[in-house]
Amino acid sequence: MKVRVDFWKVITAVIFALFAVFLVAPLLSLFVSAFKDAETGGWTMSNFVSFFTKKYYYRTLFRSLAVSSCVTLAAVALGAPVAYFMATYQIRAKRLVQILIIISMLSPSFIGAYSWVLLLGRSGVVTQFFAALGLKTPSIYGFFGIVLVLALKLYPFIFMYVSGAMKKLDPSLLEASQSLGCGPARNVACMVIPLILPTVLAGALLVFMSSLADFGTPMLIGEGFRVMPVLVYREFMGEMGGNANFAAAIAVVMVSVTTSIYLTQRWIVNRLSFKSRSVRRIVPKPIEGGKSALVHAWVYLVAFLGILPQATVVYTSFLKTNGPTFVQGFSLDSYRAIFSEMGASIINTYCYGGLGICGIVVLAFLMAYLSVRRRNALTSLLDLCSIFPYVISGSVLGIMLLMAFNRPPLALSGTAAIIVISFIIRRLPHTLRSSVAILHQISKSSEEAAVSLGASPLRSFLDVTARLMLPGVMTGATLSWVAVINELSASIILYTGATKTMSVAIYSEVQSASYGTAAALATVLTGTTVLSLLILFSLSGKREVSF
Amino acid sequence: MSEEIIIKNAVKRYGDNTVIPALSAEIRNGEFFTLLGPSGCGKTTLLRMIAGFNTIEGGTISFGDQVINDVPAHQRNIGMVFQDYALFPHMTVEANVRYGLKFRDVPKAEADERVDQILKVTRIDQYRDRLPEALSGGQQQRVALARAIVIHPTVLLMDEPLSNLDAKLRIEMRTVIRDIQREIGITTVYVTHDQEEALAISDRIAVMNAGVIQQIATPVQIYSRPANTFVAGFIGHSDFFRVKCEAGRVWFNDAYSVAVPMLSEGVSGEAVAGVRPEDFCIMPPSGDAGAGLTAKVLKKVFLGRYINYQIAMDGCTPLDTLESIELSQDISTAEHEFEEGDTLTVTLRGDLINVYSAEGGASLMKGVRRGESAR
Repeated sequence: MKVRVDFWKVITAVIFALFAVFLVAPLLSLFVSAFKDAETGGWTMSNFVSFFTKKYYYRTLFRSLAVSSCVTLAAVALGAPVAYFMATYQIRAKRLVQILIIISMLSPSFIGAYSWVLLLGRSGVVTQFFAALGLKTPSIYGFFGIVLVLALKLYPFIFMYVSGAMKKLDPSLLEASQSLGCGPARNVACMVIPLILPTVLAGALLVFMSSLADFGTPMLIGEGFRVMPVLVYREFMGEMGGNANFAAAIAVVMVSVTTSIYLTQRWIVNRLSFKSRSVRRIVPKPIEGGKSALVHAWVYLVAFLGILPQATVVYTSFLKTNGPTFVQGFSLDSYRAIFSEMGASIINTYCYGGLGICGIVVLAFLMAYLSVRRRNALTSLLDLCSIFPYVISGSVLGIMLLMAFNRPPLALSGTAAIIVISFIIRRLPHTLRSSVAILHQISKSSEEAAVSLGASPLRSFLDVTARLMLPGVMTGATLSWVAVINELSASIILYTGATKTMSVAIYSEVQSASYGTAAALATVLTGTTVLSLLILFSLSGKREVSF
Repeated sequence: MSEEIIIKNAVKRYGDNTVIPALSAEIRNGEFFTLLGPSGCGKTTLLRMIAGFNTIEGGTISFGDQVINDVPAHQRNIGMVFQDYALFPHMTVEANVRYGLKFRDVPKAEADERVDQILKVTRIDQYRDRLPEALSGGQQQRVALARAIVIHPTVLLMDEPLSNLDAKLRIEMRTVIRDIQREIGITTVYVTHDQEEALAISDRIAVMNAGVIQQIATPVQIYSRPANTFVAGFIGHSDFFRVKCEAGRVWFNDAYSVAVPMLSEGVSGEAVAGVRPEDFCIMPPSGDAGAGLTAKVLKKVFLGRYINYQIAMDGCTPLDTLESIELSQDISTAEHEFEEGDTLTVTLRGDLINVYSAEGGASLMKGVRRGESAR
């Protein structure tokens, strides 16, 4: 018997090697350095001791948790009713509202923070308008501002999740409940809410984790109000040289917190969830009068507030500027400035993003196939990889990679490669998840048919399975792409002058109060995002994205 | 090009769970061979072992002289028709059919000709540019069949190919399959759980249960002379009675016996008789206890051509605890019709009934084996 080299065994080995080198080893070395003394290099607990005994540090953790909890509650309060109304009532201009919500979901949060500064900041348009009337508006800086910005940025996730759950909700259940004597209001309390609760919790977890990991918003408008990602960044990059070991310890605390929250939530959702087989869908009903006015007002208000930052950014990008201040009239000066001075960051974004997406697509195809079709103890470990974006925030990933690859044999720090790698690790799961989902819907026998007709395993994968997976992979890849080009929190740790990306450039322009160029760059990003979505929609013939 | 398939002591294990203990069968060149059995009996597992989609843990499977245990599926030159057809949804009918020829160094002119010919034979040439989703179930079935045989496979394997079709189309398609198979004369292994389909379509049938072949025989032999009580109960319907055998006669009670000419020499003592509904004759009650078994009509159901009676037998012992048995009466030949509550006499046709051992249920009829048997 000759030894046959199984294509899929080789792929499994290669993927595990990649993960070992670029994910597991850096994570381990992060943990190790958290227990090392910065000066002596010996084992110590002192990093953790100082974190948990000094109020300056441990307060940050509580603040982070408080901000994330408030953001989550606010996002659910904003997003869930919109999704419920859109599913049960006929809303005018529904398509437009959906598209606005998707766009506000896909734009990076720090752009939202920055445009809220333009609106509600010390010299913001709205602030000055009310000040002229003698009224004082709440300050955008600090706790309130962060919650406002993040809730408006993240409510679309709740909207998407609840909309998905409403689609799966069987109207017969509501009718059965009504036939047993339950009124419409109690029906919502007794049937709808319990049935969509697992989905709401899953969405809430995503929102909680995203706000916990968010770096750009608190960095721009937090001012004295420090949260964990900002602390990690400051300790690591600090002006006085920084303390990598202490930053690693804070990162370990963050990873521990996020992991335990993730596991708790998953346990709860597993206990609450149930299978439902719905053939029918809820048909939106017409509404009239005062009820219609209220429902429409809520839906439009939330969608408007969500898209307002984007609109502000696009608008201000066409304003004339004089240094940090806007002056009367419109011009394209900001665009001229970014193309002549920051062209490299635009090219970098598309190049790194493009490379990252290629890596993501190839990995997603292969890993989805391994974990669904070649399932064994080893390949099911690949599922763990979908947990990483939840528990490892961008800042932690940045530190992890920088600490692991700042010396030979793999001295990658400061190169473009390390940014591309961080893109792949952070955004692979979007694509992987949609690839796995579509593969579950593809009958295994199509591939076996190709094999029975004489196609080798590799050939049948390429001819049949991969081809059929393409729509799902492309949907996920579009979302990964949008997330990659908007990535800030890892890039800001990993970039050097030559590898600056657009989001880093926007951030530093805002920091140096060059609002016009920041707005122009942000508009380019938003334009790319919208264009990518339009391409996806026209290719797939669908008008929906899901996470 | 078509070959016989020889299976010798084939074993299939999943971990510690042995699904097929040691299975042997010889499938002749060109014959239509059906694997029939209840779900979970291992028939699809065996088919997929032949196809190469399941590994073989012991024994050998050969196509002609070549042992194919270690030949990967794509090099076995099999044609396979799947339960869900497995048509490639992104390829037209023609591209589906042509796909397998790409791997077989067929010159383009010959490939064109073969595709044209098979599309005509299966009567789908007018749909050649359509995608599979634009075809009906029966048409998709024809594409699947055309795709599997255009490559001139060594053997043709079919895994419940008709189970997704409605009843009428199923009957039409099984004739199509049978005709095409005869025309090209290819060794075919066909898996089904539908006994009527198996009887209608096969040259020979292997009845399987729990990974073991219970009987391999022609449809007629399987039905009229089952090798054991499992086959008798699975194919058609049989009622079983505890009987005593003596000198070629089978005694249903102390008074009533029938001569069974096909009973093996020297069988005597306790046994089990298997009686099919059509092996019964019913007549008005006769006073003579030796003339038949006395029974009472519990229920009567009129079904058009047939009348079904549910009757309680008196003075004989059904094998299971059922208190009543069902039998049908063909109204075109029936002389008497009975009503609920009537008493009647039942006689049995000794040339048709089968006798099985009391222990194990193996057939005690002359020449009946698990392999071939005589009528």
